[in-house]
Amino acid sequence: MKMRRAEREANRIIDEMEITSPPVMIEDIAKRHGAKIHYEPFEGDDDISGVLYNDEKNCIIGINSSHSRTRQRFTIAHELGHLVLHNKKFFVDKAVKVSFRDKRSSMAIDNNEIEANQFAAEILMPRTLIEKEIRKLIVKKNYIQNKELFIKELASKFAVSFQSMEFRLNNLGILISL
Amino acid sequence: MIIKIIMNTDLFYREFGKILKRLRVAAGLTQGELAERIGLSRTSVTNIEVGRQKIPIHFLFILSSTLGVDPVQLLPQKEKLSEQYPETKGFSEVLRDNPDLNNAGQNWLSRVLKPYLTEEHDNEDEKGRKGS
Repeated sequence: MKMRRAEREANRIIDEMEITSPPVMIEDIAKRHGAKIHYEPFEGDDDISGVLYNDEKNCIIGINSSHSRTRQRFTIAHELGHLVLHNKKFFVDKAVKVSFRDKRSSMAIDNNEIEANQFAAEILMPRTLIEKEIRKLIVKKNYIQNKELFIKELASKFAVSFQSMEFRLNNLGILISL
Repeated sequence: MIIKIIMNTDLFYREFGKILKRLRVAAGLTQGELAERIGLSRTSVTNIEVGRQKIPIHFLFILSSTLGVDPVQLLPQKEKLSEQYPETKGFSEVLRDNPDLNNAGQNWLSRVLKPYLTEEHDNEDEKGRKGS
Protein backbone atom coordinates (compact mmCIF):
# COMPACT_ATOMS: atom_id res chain seq x y z
CA MET A 1 0.00 0.00 0.00
CA LYS A 2 2.82 2.39 0.87
CA MET A 3 4.61 1.54 -2.34
CA ARG A 4 1.55 2.59 -4.28
CA ARG A 5 1.60 6.00 -2.64
CA ALA A 6 5.20 6.58 -3.69
CA GLU A 7 4.35 5.62 -7.23
CA ARG A 8 1.23 7.77 -7.29
CA GLU A 9 2.99 10.87 -5.98
CA ALA A 10 5.90 10.48 -8.37
CA ASN A 11 3.55 10.10 -11.32
CA ARG A 12 1.48 13.06 -10.23
CA ILE A 13 4.59 15.25 -10.25
CA ILE A 14 5.73 13.94 -13.61
CA ASP A 15 2.28 14.76 -15.04
CA GLU A 16 2.03 18.14 -13.36
CA MET A 17 5.40 19.26 -14.61
CA GLU A 18 4.64 17.88 -18.03
CA ILE A 19 7.80 15.84 -18.22
CA THR A 20 7.73 13.90 -21.45
CA SER A 21 11.33 12.98 -22.07
CA PRO A 22 14.37 11.92 -20.05
CA PRO A 23 16.48 12.83 -18.21
CA VAL A 24 14.04 14.00 -15.55
CA MET A 25 15.19 17.37 -14.26
CA ILE A 26 15.12 16.33 -10.65
CA GLU A 27 16.85 19.42 -9.29
CA ASP A 28 14.26 21.71 -10.89
CA ILE A 29 11.48 19.56 -9.51
CA ALA A 30 12.93 19.71 -6.02
CA LYS A 31 13.27 23.48 -6.28
CA ARG A 32 9.69 23.76 -7.44
CA HIS A 33 8.75 21.98 -4.25
CA GLY A 34 10.44 24.70 -2.27
CA ALA A 35 13.70 22.95 -1.50
CA LYS A 36 17.02 24.72 -1.59
CA ILE A 37 19.71 22.40 -2.82
CA HIS A 38 23.11 22.63 -1.26
CA TYR A 39 26.04 20.68 -2.68
CA GLU A 40 28.78 19.86 -0.24
CA PRO A 41 31.66 17.42 -0.65
CA PHE A 42 31.98 14.87 2.10
CA GLU A 43 35.11 12.98 2.91
CA GLY A 44 34.88 10.64 5.80
CA ASP A 45 34.20 7.15 6.96
CA ASP A 46 30.46 7.60 7.03
CA ASP A 47 28.77 7.23 3.74
CA ILE A 48 26.29 10.06 3.85
CA SER A 49 24.55 10.73 0.57
CA GLY A 50 22.30 13.55 1.51
CA VAL A 51 20.07 15.21 4.01
CA LEU A 52 16.64 16.73 4.09
CA TYR A 53 16.06 19.44 6.60
CA ASN A 54 12.53 20.66 6.79
CA ASP A 55 11.11 23.07 9.31
CA GLU A 56 8.56 25.85 8.98
CA LYS A 57 11.17 28.28 7.68
CA ASN A 58 13.69 26.23 5.76
CA CYS A 59 13.61 23.34 3.39
CA ILE A 60 17.09 22.26 2.51
CA ILE A 61 18.31 19.28 0.59
CA GLY A 62 22.00 18.74 1.21
CA ILE A 63 23.81 16.60 -1.30
CA ASN A 64 27.14 14.90 -0.95
CA SER A 65 28.85 16.28 -4.04
CA SER A 66 31.73 13.83 -3.75
CA HIS A 67 29.45 11.21 -5.22
CA SER A 68 28.90 10.60 -8.91
CA ARG A 69 26.36 12.71 -10.76
CA THR A 70 23.93 9.83 -11.13
CA ARG A 71 24.14 9.08 -7.45
CA GLN A 72 23.61 12.74 -6.57
CA ARG A 73 20.52 12.76 -8.75
CA PHE A 74 19.21 9.69 -7.00
CA THR A 75 19.87 11.32 -3.63
CA ILE A 76 17.95 14.47 -4.60
CA ALA A 77 15.06 12.28 -5.71
CA HIS A 78 15.23 10.29 -2.49
CA GLU A 79 15.19 13.41 -0.31
CA LEU A 80 12.38 14.86 -2.38
CA GLY A 81 10.53 11.64 -1.67
CA HIS A 82 10.86 12.28 2.06
CA LEU A 83 9.64 15.82 1.52
CA VAL A 84 6.63 14.82 -0.54
CA LEU A 85 5.67 11.64 1.27
CA HIS A 86 6.73 12.18 4.83
CA ASN A 87 6.11 15.84 5.02
CA LYS A 88 2.73 16.54 6.49
CA LYS A 89 3.39 15.75 10.09
CA PHE A 90 6.24 18.21 10.23
CA PHE A 91 3.94 21.06 9.47
CA VAL A 92 1.43 19.91 12.00
CA ASP A 93 4.02 19.35 14.65
CA LYS A 94 6.16 22.33 13.64
CA ALA A 95 9.01 19.99 14.34
CA VAL A 96 12.43 19.81 12.82
CA LYS A 97 13.11 16.63 10.99
CA VAL A 98 16.14 15.37 9.21
CA SER A 99 16.37 12.29 7.13
CA PHE A 100 19.66 10.89 6.03
CA ARG A 101 20.46 8.81 3.11
CA ASP A 102 23.32 6.62 4.18
CA LYS A 103 24.36 2.99 4.03
CA ARG A 104 21.38 1.96 6.09
CA SER A 105 18.82 3.52 3.79
CA SER A 106 20.36 2.16 0.63
CA MET A 107 19.88 -1.20 2.26
CA ALA A 108 16.34 0.02 2.75
CA ILE A 109 15.75 -0.93 6.34
CA ASP A 110 13.07 1.36 7.60
CA ASN A 111 9.75 1.97 5.92
CA ASN A 112 10.21 5.63 5.09
CA GLU A 113 13.54 4.81 3.49
CA ILE A 114 12.03 2.09 1.37
CA GLU A 115 9.31 4.46 0.30
CA ALA A 116 11.73 7.27 -0.50
CA ASN A 117 13.85 4.91 -2.59
CA GLN A 118 10.76 3.71 -4.39
CA PHE A 119 9.73 7.30 -5.04
CA ALA A 120 13.21 8.10 -6.36
CA ALA A 121 13.12 5.21 -8.81
CA GLU A 122 9.62 6.15 -9.94
CA ILE A 123 10.35 9.79 -10.52
CA LEU A 124 13.74 9.35 -12.19
CA MET A 125 12.58 6.43 -14.30
CA PRO A 126 8.83 6.78 -14.85
CA ARG A 127 7.29 3.69 -16.35
CA THR A 128 5.69 5.56 -19.25
CA LEU A 129 8.96 7.25 -20.24
CA ILE A 130 10.88 4.00 -19.96
CA GLU A 131 8.41 2.24 -22.20
CA LYS A 132 8.58 5.10 -24.67
CA GLU A 133 12.37 5.01 -24.80
CA ILE A 134 12.42 1.26 -25.15
CA ARG A 135 10.09 1.48 -28.11
CA LYS A 136 12.46 3.97 -29.72
CA LEU A 137 15.45 1.73 -29.06
CA ILE A 138 13.71 -1.25 -30.55
CA VAL A 139 12.87 0.66 -33.68
CA LYS A 140 16.33 2.15 -34.05
CA LYS A 141 18.64 -0.70 -33.21
CA ASN A 142 18.56 -4.26 -32.22
CA TYR A 143 19.49 -3.56 -28.60
CA ILE A 144 17.22 -6.26 -27.31
CA GLN A 145 19.89 -8.79 -28.20
CA ASN A 146 22.43 -7.24 -25.85
CA LYS A 147 21.18 -6.83 -22.32
CA GLU A 148 24.20 -4.89 -21.07
CA LEU A 149 24.10 -2.41 -23.91
CA PHE A 150 20.36 -2.05 -23.58
CA ILE A 151 20.57 -1.16 -19.89
CA LYS A 152 23.56 1.10 -20.45
CA GLU A 153 21.79 3.07 -23.16
CA LEU A 154 18.67 3.54 -21.05
CA ALA A 155 20.72 4.44 -17.98
CA SER A 156 22.53 7.15 -19.88
CA LYS A 157 19.29 8.55 -21.31
CA PHE A 158 17.77 8.80 -17.85
CA ALA A 159 21.02 9.89 -16.19
CA VAL A 160 20.89 7.14 -13.62
CA SER A 161 23.41 4.47 -12.74
CA PHE A 162 23.53 1.17 -14.55
CA GLN A 163 22.53 -0.58 -11.33
CA SER A 164 19.51 1.68 -10.78
CA MET A 165 18.28 1.08 -14.29
CA GLU A 166 18.81 -2.64 -14.10
CA PHE A 167 16.95 -2.80 -10.81
CA ARG A 168 14.14 -0.68 -12.18
CA LEU A 169 13.76 -2.76 -15.33
CA ASN A 170 13.63 -5.90 -13.25
CA ASN A 171 11.03 -4.32 -11.00
CA LEU A 172 8.90 -3.30 -13.93
CA GLY A 173 9.09 -6.82 -15.26
CA ILE A 174 10.77 -5.63 -18.43
CA LEU A 175 13.96 -7.60 -18.04
CA ILE A 176 12.62 -11.02 -17.22
CA SER A 177 12.57 -12.25 -20.76
CA LEU A 178 16.13 -11.17 -21.44
CA MET B 1 30.00 34.37 8.99
CA ILE B 2 32.12 31.96 10.99
CA ILE B 3 31.43 28.83 12.84
CA LYS B 4 32.64 29.21 16.36
CA ILE B 5 34.63 26.40 17.80
CA ILE B 6 32.55 25.75 20.81
CA MET B 7 31.88 22.94 23.12
CA ASN B 8 28.48 21.47 22.76
CA THR B 9 27.50 21.31 26.41
CA ASP B 10 24.47 19.16 25.77
CA LEU B 11 26.70 16.68 24.08
CA PHE B 12 29.18 16.87 26.96
CA TYR B 13 26.57 15.92 29.52
CA ARG B 14 25.13 13.21 27.34
CA GLU B 15 28.58 11.71 26.89
CA PHE B 16 29.27 12.09 30.58
CA GLY B 17 26.02 10.34 31.35
CA LYS B 18 26.86 7.43 29.08
CA ILE B 19 30.23 6.97 30.76
CA LEU B 20 28.70 7.20 34.21
CA LYS B 21 26.15 4.58 33.32
CA ARG B 22 28.81 2.27 31.93
CA LEU B 23 30.98 2.63 35.02
CA ARG B 24 28.03 2.25 37.38
CA VAL B 25 26.95 -0.97 35.72
CA ALA B 26 30.55 -2.16 35.77
CA ALA B 27 30.62 -1.49 39.51
CA GLY B 28 27.52 -3.64 39.88
CA LEU B 29 25.32 -0.85 41.16
CA THR B 30 21.73 -0.01 40.29
CA GLN B 31 20.74 3.61 39.79
CA GLY B 32 19.01 3.48 43.16
CA GLU B 33 22.07 2.11 44.92
CA LEU B 34 24.34 4.72 43.42
CA ALA B 35 21.83 7.44 44.30
CA GLU B 36 21.77 6.32 47.92
CA ARG B 37 25.55 6.29 48.22
CA ILE B 38 26.03 9.77 46.84
CA GLY B 39 22.98 11.28 48.52
CA LEU B 40 20.88 12.00 45.44
CA SER B 41 17.48 10.74 44.39
CA ARG B 42 17.26 7.91 41.89
CA THR B 43 15.56 10.30 39.48
CA SER B 44 18.58 12.57 39.63
CA VAL B 45 20.86 9.70 38.72
CA THR B 46 18.57 8.80 35.85
CA ASN B 47 18.63 12.40 34.66
CA ILE B 48 22.40 12.63 34.95
CA GLU B 49 22.81 9.46 32.94
CA VAL B 50 20.75 10.81 30.04
CA GLY B 51 22.46 14.21 30.21
CA ARG B 52 19.46 16.13 31.44
CA GLN B 53 20.94 17.07 34.77
CA LYS B 54 24.25 18.89 34.97
CA ILE B 55 26.27 18.05 38.03
CA PRO B 56 28.53 20.40 40.05
CA ILE B 57 32.25 19.72 39.65
CA HIS B 58 32.77 18.28 43.14
CA PHE B 59 30.38 15.48 42.26
CA LEU B 60 33.00 14.24 39.87
CA PHE B 61 35.08 13.24 42.92
CA ILE B 62 32.15 11.86 44.85
CA LEU B 63 31.12 9.75 41.88
CA SER B 64 34.61 8.55 41.05
CA SER B 65 35.40 7.50 44.60
CA THR B 66 32.04 5.78 44.92
CA LEU B 67 32.64 3.90 41.70
CA GLY B 68 36.29 3.24 42.53
CA VAL B 69 37.65 4.93 39.44
CA ASP B 70 39.89 7.87 38.64
CA PRO B 71 37.88 11.09 38.12
CA VAL B 72 39.41 11.44 34.65
CA GLN B 73 37.76 8.20 33.64
CA LEU B 74 34.39 9.85 33.97
CA LEU B 75 35.25 12.59 31.51
CA PRO B 76 34.33 12.34 27.84
CA GLN B 77 37.01 12.32 25.16
CA LYS B 78 37.87 15.84 24.10
CA GLU B 79 37.76 14.92 20.40
CA LYS B 80 34.13 14.00 20.79
CA LEU B 81 33.24 17.43 22.06
CA SER B 82 35.27 20.22 20.50
CA GLU B 83 33.78 20.10 17.08
CA GLN B 84 32.48 22.81 14.87
CA TYR B 85 28.95 23.31 16.00
CA PRO B 86 26.63 26.00 14.83
CA GLU B 87 24.80 27.41 17.79
CA THR B 88 21.36 27.58 16.30
CA LYS B 89 18.65 25.76 18.11
CA GLY B 90 17.60 24.00 14.97
CA PHE B 91 20.98 22.48 14.50
CA SER B 92 21.35 21.08 17.97
CA GLU B 93 17.93 19.54 17.53
CA VAL B 94 19.18 17.98 14.34
CA LEU B 95 22.12 16.44 16.15
CA ARG B 96 19.90 15.21 18.92
CA ASP B 97 17.72 13.46 16.39
CA ASN B 98 20.70 11.80 14.77
CA PRO B 99 22.88 10.45 17.56
CA ASP B 100 24.55 7.97 15.23
CA LEU B 101 26.44 10.62 13.26
CA ASN B 102 30.18 10.65 13.71
CA ASN B 103 32.27 13.82 13.73
CA ALA B 104 32.79 13.88 9.98
CA GLY B 105 29.07 13.52 9.50
CA GLN B 106 28.33 16.27 11.98
CA ASN B 107 30.84 18.56 10.31
CA TRP B 108 29.36 17.89 6.92
CA LEU B 109 25.89 18.55 8.23
CA SER B 110 27.10 21.74 9.82
CA ARG B 111 28.55 22.96 6.51
CA VAL B 112 25.33 22.14 4.72
CA LEU B 113 22.86 23.62 7.16
CA LYS B 114 24.80 26.42 8.80
CA PRO B 115 24.29 28.98 6.01
CA TYR B 116 20.56 28.56 6.23
CA LEU B 117 19.90 28.06 9.89
CA THR B 118 21.98 30.95 11.22
CA GLU B 119 19.81 33.76 12.33
CA GLU B 120 22.36 36.03 13.92
CA HIS B 121 25.53 36.89 12.09
CA ASP B 122 28.82 36.83 13.85
CA ASN B 123 29.95 40.41 14.24
CA GLU B 124 33.66 39.72 14.50
CA ASP B 125 33.68 38.07 11.16
CA GLU B 126 31.74 40.89 9.59
CA LYS B 127 34.34 43.45 10.67
CA GLY B 128 35.98 45.12 7.71
CA ARG B 129 33.52 43.59 5.37
CA LYS B 130 30.60 45.84 6.17
CA GLY B 131 28.46 46.77 3.24
CA SER B 132 29.65 43.85 1.19
